[in-house]
Amino acid sequence: MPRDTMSATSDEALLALYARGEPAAARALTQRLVPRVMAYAARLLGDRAEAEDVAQEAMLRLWRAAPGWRAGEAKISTWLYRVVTNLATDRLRRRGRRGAHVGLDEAAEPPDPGPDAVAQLAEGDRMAALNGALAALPDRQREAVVLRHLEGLSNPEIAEVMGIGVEAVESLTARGKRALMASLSGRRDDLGYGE
Amino acid sequence: MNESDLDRLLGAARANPPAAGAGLMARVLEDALAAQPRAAAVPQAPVQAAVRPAPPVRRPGFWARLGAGLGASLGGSGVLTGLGGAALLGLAAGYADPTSLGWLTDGLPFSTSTQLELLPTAEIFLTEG
Repeated sequence: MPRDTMSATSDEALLALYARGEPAAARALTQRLVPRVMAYAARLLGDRAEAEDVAQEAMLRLWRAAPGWRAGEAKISTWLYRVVTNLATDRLRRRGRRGAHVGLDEAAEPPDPGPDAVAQLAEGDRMAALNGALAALPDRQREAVVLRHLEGLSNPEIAEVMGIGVEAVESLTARGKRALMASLSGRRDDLGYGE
Repeated sequence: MNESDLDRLLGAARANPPAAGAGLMARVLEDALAAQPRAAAVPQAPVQAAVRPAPPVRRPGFWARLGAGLGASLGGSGVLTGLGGAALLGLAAGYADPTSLGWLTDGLPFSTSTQLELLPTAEIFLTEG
């Protein structure tokens, strides 16, 4: 199947093609899904190497699930977010959340250098501060805030990923944002929000 | 920091997601191709293996086909048996000594013989006129 046709094909249709042995579908799904999976894992874990391991493991589970995937039963992106959430939670529990959010400083750097190097540095500082504040949140609040405000999912989608009701999602995101503001309020001037 | 500041910060973070490196992309694709079902292995092979070939149909021999054809054209095997019996009786009557068939002809109403001369003046064909 041509590449432009692949780009217009849904995730579910691509997975069905993959299960029938179409190699182009494997490439299209990898290019489409891995960046999102990696970004979400990195934001939950705060460690680039661990996030890559989780992203690879989540995608491997998708490949293995492909032959038995039933169309219409679950959205692939939702399924992947759920798998990444579970894998990241396991890792966070194992390491006791020590030394988190070291590797994200590099990832948070804007890839395209702007005209003002000072402004870039300030932006990098803001991202580092946000990542640190996210790491300090309880797991469920962090998951809800990341899915809502960084991954752009709707509340019903988050509810499906987290296996809770929509009202619980709203409560988690609201408490998470309040906690982030409280955590960052002491650095308001440092982060350039003072004036 | 107020909520507006936080929303701006979250918006900036959303616009710059942690990127997936080329190494990760290559590893995931390698996993995908290794785990991918083969196109040739799509369900048909086991189905074909499970179906036993049908035994060959044995074609009936010449005599069997001839008998069946005659029977069918003459009205069935009962008629064919009757015809066969009559043929055998005719053969037996032809080979047997006529005197021994008295038991068969004695009961007939025309058992007394009568001479009948169909051409009493047969000489007429020999006489030149």
